[in-house]
Amino acid sequence: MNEPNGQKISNSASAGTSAIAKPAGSSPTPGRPVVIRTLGLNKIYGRGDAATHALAGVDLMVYRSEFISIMGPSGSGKSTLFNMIGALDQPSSGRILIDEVDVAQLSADELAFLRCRKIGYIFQQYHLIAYLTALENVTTPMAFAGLPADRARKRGMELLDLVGLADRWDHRPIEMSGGQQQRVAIARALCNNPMILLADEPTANLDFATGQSVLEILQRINQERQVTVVCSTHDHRLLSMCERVFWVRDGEIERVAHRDEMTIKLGSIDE
Amino acid sequence: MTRPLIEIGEQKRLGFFRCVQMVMISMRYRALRSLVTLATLALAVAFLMISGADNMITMRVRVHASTQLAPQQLAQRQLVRFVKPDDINDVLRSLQVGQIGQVGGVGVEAVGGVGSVGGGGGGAWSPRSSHTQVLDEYRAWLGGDIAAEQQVSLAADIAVQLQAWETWADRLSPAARAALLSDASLVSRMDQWSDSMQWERLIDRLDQWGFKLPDGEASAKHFITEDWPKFRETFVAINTGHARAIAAISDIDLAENSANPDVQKNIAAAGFVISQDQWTQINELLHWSAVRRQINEALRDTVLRARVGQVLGMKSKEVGLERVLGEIDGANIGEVLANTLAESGFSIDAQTIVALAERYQREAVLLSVLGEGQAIEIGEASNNKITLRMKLLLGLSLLVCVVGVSNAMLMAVTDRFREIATMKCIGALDGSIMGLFVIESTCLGVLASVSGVLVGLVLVVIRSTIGLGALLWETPGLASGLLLAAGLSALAGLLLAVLAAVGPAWMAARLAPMEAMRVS
Ligand SMILES: Nc1ncnc2c1ncn2[C@@H]1O[C@H](COP(=O)(O)OP(=O)(O)OP(=O)(O)O)[C@@H](O)[C@H]1O
Ligand SMILES: [Mg+2]
Repeated sequence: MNEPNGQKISNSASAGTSAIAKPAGSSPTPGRPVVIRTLGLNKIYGRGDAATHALAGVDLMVYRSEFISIMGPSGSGKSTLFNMIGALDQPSSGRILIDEVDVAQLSADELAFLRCRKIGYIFQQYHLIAYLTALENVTTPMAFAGLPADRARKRGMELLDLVGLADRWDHRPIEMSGGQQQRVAIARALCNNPMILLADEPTANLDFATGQSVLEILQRINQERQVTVVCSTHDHRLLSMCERVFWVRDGEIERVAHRDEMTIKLGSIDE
Repeated sequence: MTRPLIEIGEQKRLGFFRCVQMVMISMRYRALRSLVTLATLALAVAFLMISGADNMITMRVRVHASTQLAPQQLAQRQLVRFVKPDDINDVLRSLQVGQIGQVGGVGVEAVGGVGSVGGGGGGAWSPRSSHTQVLDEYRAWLGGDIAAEQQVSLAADIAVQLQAWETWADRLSPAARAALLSDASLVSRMDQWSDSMQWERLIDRLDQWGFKLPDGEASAKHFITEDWPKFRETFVAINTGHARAIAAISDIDLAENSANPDVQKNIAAAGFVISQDQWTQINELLHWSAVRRQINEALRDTVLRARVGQVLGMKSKEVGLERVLGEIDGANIGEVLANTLAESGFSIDAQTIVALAERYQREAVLLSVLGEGQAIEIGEASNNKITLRMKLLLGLSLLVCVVGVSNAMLMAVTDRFREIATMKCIGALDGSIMGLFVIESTCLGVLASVSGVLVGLVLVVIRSTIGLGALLWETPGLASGLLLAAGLSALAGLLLAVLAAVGPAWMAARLAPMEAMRVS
């Protein structure tokens, strides 16, 4: 768990491009473990004429303690991809491997364990539980993980403090703004110290300053605890933080850019 | 292979206490919705409770009413018998109803039974209800006289035998049948054959034709030459008894002389076994009918009718015995009526009038409980009728309850698929989610069942008290019946509530989280 990640910079140079070229098995960066890998991922919503091809053959790899951004226009399939790699939905075809284990092979029990303690989710629609207060929303995953209630409350308050909502701990979701709900969702995602953090547009509803602080939190847990962060966004500030950017369009990965390449053409990022 | 980065262990179930805590929070949050669901459930349970308890009360009260009326009715029938005896052939026909389907076997078995009848009767036949009714009526009429009862029982056994013979004779070829019975009926032929000379001839003739007797020769002979004459004797005795009783009482006024020991002796000598209790019943009946006759006579007078009408506040045209008796509800009106009658020269004291009115009103209530034109049956035929209606009604209300409860619970649960999905996203086990829903629906179910049963109980008691009055409270076994109805309704409500909630919740919990999210 705590093994140092010395190869982070030296090996990432060729990772971006090769992730598309030959994803299956043959990692171009030996020694750097792959945490998330998808193989020929397809997702079709609906059937017949109404069928939408939300994902069309996505192959990607995310390395351990990487900070990844997923960018793409609205409706390009980012959220769908999130649900897939978070083991929250069933792909129409293709495989998802988390730490080289196919999630399709996990039992319901193991999946619950994975979702509860190893992956933190920040949903675009927050998905907070309506009848629980901010603090209760944050402590619920800890209850599922078997943490005693008092310790859960203590940690919950710390996390709410971290996202700047300590004074709103007993507000219910409907009594909070979108940005505040999003920050509760972030606190909830962090509560069980996940190995992977999946954030679907975590700054979309936040003002500049709050968004900045959220991004700093994400960056900090990425750097301090080697948490792998996958983050979809339209926020250009993120581009300077992350190692690689996946560009998604119409359910396919159109392009993978490394940070070094991006700093050069940051000015022309919108296409 | 190195140690995996992401170790996967075992996820724990959410503890019971935590589940209860979350359920409380959730129910408090949607207090209004929970209340509506609760009310719907309670209503459905109350409905089930009302129809169940109502049926139970109706049944118990009916049985109670019929046991209350039975002695009086029996006395009535006995009175009728003193004047007009049953046709002995009718009695025989009623007794003859046996198990036609297995005549051969019954024949043999019944012969064995008859052989031992001298001591106590009782063959292996199983009588049908009309048979039982007649037997029961005769038993009640005989007032527990063992010897007489044995006679009736013997007669019933022999009647079954006779039927076996009849069936056997029916199976013969037309020619053989004609030769055996000629124009006579089986009964009159039996009378002939029971003569030992005729018996020999019958056997000879049957031998010639190669026929076998239904139960073998020895037992057939026993039946024809010994049992059959006994059978005839019994009924001749009963018939004669009737005739003698009629002769003994036809020229005296039974109403005035029923308490006379000589009259009672006469009737006993005529073959009627009547206990002292039954005599009391009969005397009472005669007494009250005399009083009624007296009042009826008095009311024929137009002037008196007009006066009584004034007292009771009705038109003189409407004044009749039944109406008057129905109106009297206390000593005061009885007094006034007695005075009115006395002024016209009829002397009936107020107490008697009030007592007669009470008796009449109670009888009217009992009869109304039993239904219009419903004979008091001592057998179980009427009970079966009630049970069928009861089953139908209960089935219907159970259906309403099922639909009501499952609809309310389904709505409450499908509303929350999103919540189930969210819980799964943040790592809830299917079992934890089920725990939450089982606890919540059990809470709702228990609360709804208790309140529904209480509401139903109050309503049903109020309703029945209005309809039945004092009769309700004197009916035995009411409390235990109500308790049973309450328990069953509550149990049904609780089970339905839990099942209707757990079913859809289980379906949602088994889906992948985002699939469940899309369902809602
Ligand atoms: N439940 C669904 N049923 C049918 N089609 C769906 C469903 N969910 C998503 N889609 C379709 O799949 C495609 C990808 O949707 P997705 O939500 O992944 O887009 P996105 O990239 O997250 O967009 P945004 O930036 O607006 O959040 C869209 O065309 C969308 O219409
Ligand atoms: Mg999205």
